[in-house]
Amino acid sequence: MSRWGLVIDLDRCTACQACVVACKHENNVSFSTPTTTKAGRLMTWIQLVAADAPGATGTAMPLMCQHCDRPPCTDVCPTSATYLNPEGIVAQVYPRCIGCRYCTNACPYAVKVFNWTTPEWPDAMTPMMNPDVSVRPKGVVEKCTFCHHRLMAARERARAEGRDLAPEDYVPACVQTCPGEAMVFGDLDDPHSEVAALAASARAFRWMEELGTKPKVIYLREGE
Amino acid sequence: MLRYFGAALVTGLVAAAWIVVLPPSPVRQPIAFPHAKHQGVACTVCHRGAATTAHAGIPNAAMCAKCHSTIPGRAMASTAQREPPIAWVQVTHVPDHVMFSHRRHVTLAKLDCESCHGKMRERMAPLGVAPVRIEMKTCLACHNREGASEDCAACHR
Repeated sequence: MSRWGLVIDLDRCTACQACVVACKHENNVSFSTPTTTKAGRLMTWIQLVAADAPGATGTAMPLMCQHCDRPPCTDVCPTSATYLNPEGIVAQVYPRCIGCRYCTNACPYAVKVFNWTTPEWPDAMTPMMNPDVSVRPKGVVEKCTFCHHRLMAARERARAEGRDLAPEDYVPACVQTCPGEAMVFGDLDDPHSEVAALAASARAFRWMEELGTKPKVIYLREGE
Repeated sequence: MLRYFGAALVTGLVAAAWIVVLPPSPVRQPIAFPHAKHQGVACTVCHRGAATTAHAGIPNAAMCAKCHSTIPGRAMASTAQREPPIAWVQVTHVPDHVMFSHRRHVTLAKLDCESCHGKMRERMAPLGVAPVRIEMKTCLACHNREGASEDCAACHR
């Protein structure tokens, strides 16, 4: 069984936000207006935040669900709508979510977002919606899924072709888009994978790892 | 007064029972297509996507014409010769929040079409309502029996 993880090299990241746009497009994430954003209701699964970790001052870093191995959000969910799946992805089952927002408050990274309004898109963009991802209704919490739908599609394609899943078969949209090649995705439990090697490097750190959440998003940054 | 209240109550109960108990009214399909007359053809010949993609697809008139223009004495009924698309009405649905792939079930899991679509091969009239009620417990019973993934995210998108 794989344990999916993401490595982000902050020394390569140019803060161009291509990952943010790719994620919105891939996952049918709705738009926010300046008013809603000002009210603290920005709808995004990934955003650039100020990185003020030791040795990482003065830069921005992409922050999305950290897919913790010990996720605080799943412990507080009263309906088991959010859970850690067998492959280490923190999933969210939208029809099961009652919108209590316990998980959004429990998440120390503040990366679970609540739909305060019914999502809307300009008419011209409607045909561009991704059919593999549902449109979340008003009143539920949504989050990064490591583009889990891509894993399902890739696994199906590999099986149809009679072969095993190759590392390049499954890549989330943010990783695929990153023009600086700052993001690497793969199986952390595979000792031969690039992510496993990078995660073990001296440059690696995990965001707020002192909380014991055991994130599977690993950042790389040269110390000063 | 009490008599009116009783009448209203009875009317309300009947209306509620009407909605809950009775099946949805059948839809009207544009062509009286008889599946039973096409038994010699495998399902995936016309529903081409069933074996190779997520969506099975419904054939258009051009697909029908491929056989009907070459087999003597099997000329298509005039209604079937209209320009595509034929306005078929889909009767078997999965909810919007479910990702169902036909290829995953038909080609990889070797599931018989009848499991979800009933005995279409024997039908002379087109479907007005879904032949089989598809619920999560139906899916899970099979997933459990066959050892398929029972992870919520495998189906819930």
